[in-house]
Formats: sequence, structure tokens, C-alpha cells
Amino acid sequence: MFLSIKNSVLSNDAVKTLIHRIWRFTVLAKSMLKRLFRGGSSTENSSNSNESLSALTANMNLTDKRVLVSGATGFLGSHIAQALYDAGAKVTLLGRNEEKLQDMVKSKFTSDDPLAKKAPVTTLCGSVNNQDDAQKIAQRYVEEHGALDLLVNCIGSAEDKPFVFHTANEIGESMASNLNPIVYLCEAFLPKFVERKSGNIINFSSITGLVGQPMRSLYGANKGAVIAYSKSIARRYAADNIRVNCIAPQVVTGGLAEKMSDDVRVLLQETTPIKRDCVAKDLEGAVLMLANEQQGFVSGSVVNVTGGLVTW
Amino acid sequence: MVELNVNTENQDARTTERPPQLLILGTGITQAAQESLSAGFHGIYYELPHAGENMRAYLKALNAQLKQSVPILNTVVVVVPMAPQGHEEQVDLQWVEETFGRTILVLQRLSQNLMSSKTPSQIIFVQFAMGESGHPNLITSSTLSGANIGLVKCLAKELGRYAVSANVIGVSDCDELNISFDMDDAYQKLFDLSGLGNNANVEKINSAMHHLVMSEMSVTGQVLRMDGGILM
Repeated sequence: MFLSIKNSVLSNDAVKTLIHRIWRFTVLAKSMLKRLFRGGSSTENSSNSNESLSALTANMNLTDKRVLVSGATGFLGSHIAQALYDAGAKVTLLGRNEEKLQDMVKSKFTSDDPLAKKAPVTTLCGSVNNQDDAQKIAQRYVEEHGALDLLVNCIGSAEDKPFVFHTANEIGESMASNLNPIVYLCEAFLPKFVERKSGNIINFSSITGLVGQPMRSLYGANKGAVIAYSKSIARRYAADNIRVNCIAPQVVTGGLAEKMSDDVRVLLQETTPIKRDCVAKDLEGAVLMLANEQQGFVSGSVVNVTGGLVTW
Repeated sequence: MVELNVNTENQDARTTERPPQLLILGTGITQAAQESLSAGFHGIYYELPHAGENMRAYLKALNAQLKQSVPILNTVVVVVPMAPQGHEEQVDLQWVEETFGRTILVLQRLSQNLMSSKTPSQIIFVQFAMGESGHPNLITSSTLSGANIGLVKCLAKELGRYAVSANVIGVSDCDELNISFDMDDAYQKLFDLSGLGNNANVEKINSAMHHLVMSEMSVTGQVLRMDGGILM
């Protein structure tokens, strides 16, 4: 049979392609079987992550810390807000859609337990398309809450496309969704932090901004810009007791990972030294760590959350 | 547009039989600096598009010029401008977006030339070194430089299969290329303590460009720091 293939039908290249496809199919099938028989996803080890996060939260004193989470209705933002709420912070959700914000409050932040003395979660609805929008949001926040202790920016979106095909509009749109709102919000709150000689900012970047990724050139560029901007303001305002840090995660299950093809996802999981997907809990842990006043000497850093995949 | 070195007799010994075909894109760089930067290469200097410039017309003119002077383009050097004075106190996102957007549109066009050149090709950004570390008083330039670093790493991974490498040369101070800044006091003291501090000049940057061209894809997605050790 092999001979007949060799002699008549398939060229060497075609045979290689066929073998490669069989290999890819085997890898995919293996992964799917693993998920089926272990009764869960490839994030099975995340229970360990949950336990350690609970321990971390227990030791964390964010009680009464006033926190504003932007991008709060997104996948990542909602998880981060929940983690901060669980740690005792007074959380305000900032998003563009009032209905979604209210739904979130009802579904995730309403407790029937009278002993759970948690501050109620509040919302701020508004777009951050320019500096004026951000100033108004900052003003409204300060009027309602007095002052802000921690700003967490969970803003960003990516589209896979070859570099040469991006249009001029897409270049602007990518900046408008990945860089500009973060800068506007930081610039709006920094003067208030300076007045109080206290403040903490956590900006979500991406590992793509640090080490690049094919087909995501605009996203990578804007996430790189977020890192450089954050480092610049970290240095500028350090003497005012303001800390600024970034988190650079790899794709997260439930977030951008869902946009990846199955074979790339499998490949990513296989090459990640900690053999599992990155889950929201991993990023919650990173945020809680940077939010903690015990990390008061950590500023201008980029926390790499890639399970050991990127160590440089 | 200025036609640069075509004197192959005095060509740098490190270059290959046919000198790399070079396009330098910059803003307001003197002719002397252009010539020093391109020593050992054959190519042209072309101004980056200005704010509000009609990009379609710009790209058409650039393409015509390339066809005439650099038919087999394989090296593109972008000398990234720093933000004008008065645009650094607070980050000027409009300037970042305009400068970054125009550079991308030009690079998209040139990438197609490089991908089809069928020889190892390079994209090299020469820029302010503080894109990696941030700078407390030059936030706009830092942000743009950070964006370029992210872009270059993505391009290195995306265009590598077409034998196109992409790198950044991070320069602390080079008056000839209008890249200069005052270090903040803390960094200056640390810098003085280290006893290094040879600033880059165009000749040294030219030498680094040759190094990157000669590496033929071994060096890609990197930031080559020519900052005298500031960011060591």
C-alpha cells in the first residue's frame, strides 16, 4: 500500500502533510479524551489555584479600600471585581452598559448572608472615549465615594488579522480599545492621587505586549504602549506614594483563549510548563497581590502570568 | 528624498556582494547624518509622512521612488521621532496615534516588498531607548517607543516565515537623529556611578545596522540597547 502511494498518488510533501494532519488529530483527540474522562476541562488543576487564592484572600486586608474596576462587565473585569469584593474592598464597577452593570450586581454581588458584612457594590456607567469623559467619571466617583484607593483597568480586545491587511480605521480602533481609555482614566485620577499622596493603579497589559504574537500586531503594539506608559507614570509619581504596575497574562480560559483554534490551544497548553490553561483565578491572585499594601515597594513592574511559558 | 552611497569600492567589508538595498525613513534628519547612517548600504532617505498628509499620494510617490532607486528593497530603517517639546508633560495620545498610525501604513506597504524580495530582509526601528523602562518626563515618547517594541516583536513572529526580521535599536542620546533627553536625577547618578556612558552616534548605529543585516534572521524580535549601559 505504501508503495502504491509512493509510486502513484502522493508526493513526498503530500505524505508529510498527511502525517502532520494525523499527528494533529491525535493530539486533539488525546486532549478531548482527557477532558471527558477527568470530568472537566484542561483547567483541572485550577482547584489548587482556587484553594491558594482563598488562603491569599484570607490574609489580605482590603477592607474598606475603595476600588474602581474599569471594563467591569467584561469576562476578566467581572472576575477581578468579584475577587476584590471577596477580599473586603468597596468595589465600584465601571462599564458602558447600565443594564449589564445592574445585572452583574444582582447576580454576583448580592448576598443573603446577614453576617457577610460586605460593602455594597456600586456602579458607574459611562464610556471613556476621551479625556473629558474620564474627568467626568473621576469627578462623579470622588463625589460619591470621597476618594479612590485603587484603580484597576481591565480594558482591551484583540482581533486576529495579518499585519498587512489592517486598515487605517482599525489602527485607530485598536488604540481606542486597548490604550486610550487606560491612559485617560489614569490621567483623570492621578491628580487626585497626588493630592492625597496615595494611590495604586493596576493596568492589564498582555504577554503579547512583552514578547509579541503573530497576527496580533496592533494588539501587541498597544499592549506594549500600556507597559511603557505605566512604567513612565510609575517613575513620575513614585515620590507621591503612587504605585503603578501591569499584569501581562497569557490568554485566559473564558476570555481571549476562546478565540483561539483548538489546535493552537492544545499546543499552548502542551508548551506551558505548568501544564494547564491560564484561568481567571490566576489573574485575580496577581491583582490581589499588587493591591495589597504589603507590596508597597513594588512599582513599575510587569507581573508575568504565563505558567512559566515566558521567563524572560 | 536623497540618494545615498552608491560607491561600492569603499563599501564596508562586512556587506555581501550586492550591498543591502536600504530605505531610511525619518523626520528632519540632516544629509550628513543620513549619509553616515547609510554607510556601506545602497539606498535612499525618505521623510516619514507628516501630520495630515494624504497617505495614498505619499505611498504612491514612495513606491515610484523605490522602483527607480531601490528596486530590490531588503532593509527598512525607521528613525522614530520624539514628541515635540510641550507634548511630554502629559501623554499626548493624538500625537502617538498619528505618528504610530502613519508609520504602520508605510510599513504595511514596505512589508509586502520585503516579503516578496526572496532574500533575508530587515525592519529596524531606531528609537528612544526608554520605551523599555518608561521615562518620568518623556511619557509621550516612551509610550510611542513601547508601542513600537510591541509591534516589532509581533512582526518578528509574523513575518519570520517570509525571512523578514524585525528589531529595535534603542538609543539613549543621538543628536544627529534628534533623539536626546535629560535623564532624571536618579538615573543620572546611577549612570555616573557605573562609569560607562558612551552615547551612541550615527556611525555606531550604522555599525549596529550592519550587525543586524549580517545576522540574517539569527537576531530578530530584539531590542539592541545602545544606551551606554543605562538599562543594564
